[in-house]
Amino acid sequence: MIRSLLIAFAALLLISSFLAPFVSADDHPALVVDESDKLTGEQERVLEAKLKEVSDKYDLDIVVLINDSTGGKLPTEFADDYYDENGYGRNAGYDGILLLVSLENRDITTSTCGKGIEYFNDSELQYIEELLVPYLSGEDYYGAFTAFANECDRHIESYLESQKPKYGLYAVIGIVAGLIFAAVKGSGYKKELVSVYSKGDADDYIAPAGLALSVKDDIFAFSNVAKTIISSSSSSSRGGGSSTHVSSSGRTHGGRSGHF
Amino acid sequence: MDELIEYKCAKCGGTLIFDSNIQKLRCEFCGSLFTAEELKALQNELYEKTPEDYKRTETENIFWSEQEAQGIFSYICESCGGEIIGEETTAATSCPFCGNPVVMKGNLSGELRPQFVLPFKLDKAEAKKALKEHFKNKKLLPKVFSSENHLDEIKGVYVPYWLYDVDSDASSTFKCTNSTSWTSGDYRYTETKTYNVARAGNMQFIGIPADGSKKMDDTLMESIEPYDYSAFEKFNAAYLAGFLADKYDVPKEDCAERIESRAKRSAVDALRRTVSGYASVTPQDSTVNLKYDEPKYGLLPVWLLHTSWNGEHYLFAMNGQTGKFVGDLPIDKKRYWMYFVRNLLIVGGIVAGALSLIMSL
Repeated sequence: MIRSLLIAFAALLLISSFLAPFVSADDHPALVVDESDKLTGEQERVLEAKLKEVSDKYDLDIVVLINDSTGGKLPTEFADDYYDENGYGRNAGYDGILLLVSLENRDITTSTCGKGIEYFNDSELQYIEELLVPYLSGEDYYGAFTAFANECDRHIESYLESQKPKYGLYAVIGIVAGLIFAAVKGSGYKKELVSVYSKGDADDYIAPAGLALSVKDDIFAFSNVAKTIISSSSSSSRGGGSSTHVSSSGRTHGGRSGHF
Repeated sequence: MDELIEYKCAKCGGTLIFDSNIQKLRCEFCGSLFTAEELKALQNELYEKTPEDYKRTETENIFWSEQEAQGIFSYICESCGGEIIGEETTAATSCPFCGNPVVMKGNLSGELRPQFVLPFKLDKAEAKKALKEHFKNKKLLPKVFSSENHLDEIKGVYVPYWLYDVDSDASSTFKCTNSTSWTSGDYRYTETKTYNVARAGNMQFIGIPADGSKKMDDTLMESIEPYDYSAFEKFNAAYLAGFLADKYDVPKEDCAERIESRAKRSAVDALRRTVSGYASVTPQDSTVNLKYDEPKYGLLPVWLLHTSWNGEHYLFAMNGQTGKFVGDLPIDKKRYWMYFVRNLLIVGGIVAGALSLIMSL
């Protein structure tokens, strides 16, 4: 009796674990939402697959939404609410990023949440916006969304790589710091043993009146102005922080909005 | 002609020595105390005696080779009749047989008579104590050095010094800069203003010392500077009783270069210290004119301590007035590398660990 119960339980577990991905896939909202019908069915399918691949790879939702209007809301508010109200976001932090393209006012908006805020700082979001504007201006929405998916993939990979601990480097820095400290400390210990040294000056014998200055001239001679360009970063990761705000649902979001 | 003087108690005739603790001459037998001036008044006749009143033998009368005899003088101790061998420069010493302190008046009169003497403030016991203190808190000193180091000799010596009062007129020029930065658009601007700065002034030095004894290592003597000249006394040979003393054998002219070098450096440094408010100061030219009269001749108190360890000799010196103690010590190389590796591992480990922890957060 017990044996048959155990077999039944194991079978149940096996079936549920087998079905789980399909159930959750069905429950999870689409990552491509084309309310303006600007993408073909094939484009939507390919883009959905691409976004899902990148989303699964980094365990956060990467969503694109195109619509006609934000319904009177500010684009940022609309993007935040859409993200919150439609069940986007993975893990406890609702990790993800949503790109909203709204045609009425030609708005391009990004909303980030959880890990998305950490991965995509303000500079990176600005870079994404600048990257997509030429596509959107030319009404190449598929091109814009594909570029968005590719940039998310490239950027997150680069960001995570930069965050990986570099133990070899830390060991080298540690050894160098240790060598410098040991040498300086050792030199101090050696100095304790040496007390016989020549006196190069006669400061101990200066009369109490000290120095009587007769000339004290400080004359401006010339000035030089050097001009250097402030380098705009062309590296794979853009520095800086992420500015955040709180959406109507109470969640913290990052993001920015512009026009194309 | 040289002559030998022992300072005798005016009351009992016992031998007097200078007690640095009470700054008076003390009779070793009856305990009577005399200031140098009192003794001089009581024993004035001692100074009036002719050299013939004392037994003295010239070097040619004893069996020294000509080479050995050069610069060596012998004296007969007035107390025990023992023969005291001294160098040509010896001005005060003690009899090796009876220990009585004696002063060679001939090396302290005429041109050789010092103008000042700075009496010992610290005695032999304090010098020994300072030697022990000198070994403390030295991480690389061999552990057994302190216990096995043998004190071979300790002697209080009045070292002859030339003391120069120097008047300096110095002028210096400097190139100084200040920078300010600001950003405008995509550019950062840095303005560097350059100034030509000139300073000139007069400064006086009182008693820059130069040791006038060839026997004394100049660097060792400079290391125990400075002395407080406010305690100078007019020279009286009675202060030398119980100590060693030498007459100078380095002419004052030979010390002038070193004195000038020290005064010039201090004068230029003093001008440099008046230049402030700049991000960078680069010295350009300096001119220093020095004027000084004949240097004063004085005797300054020094305790010399000779020790030996592992077949090596170590020399220490203590300022007999201030107690400043110097002397280079041997290094324990094994301990040096032990500390080196220990510090490397501790600091290297902490830095590498902290970096790993911070970057993995």
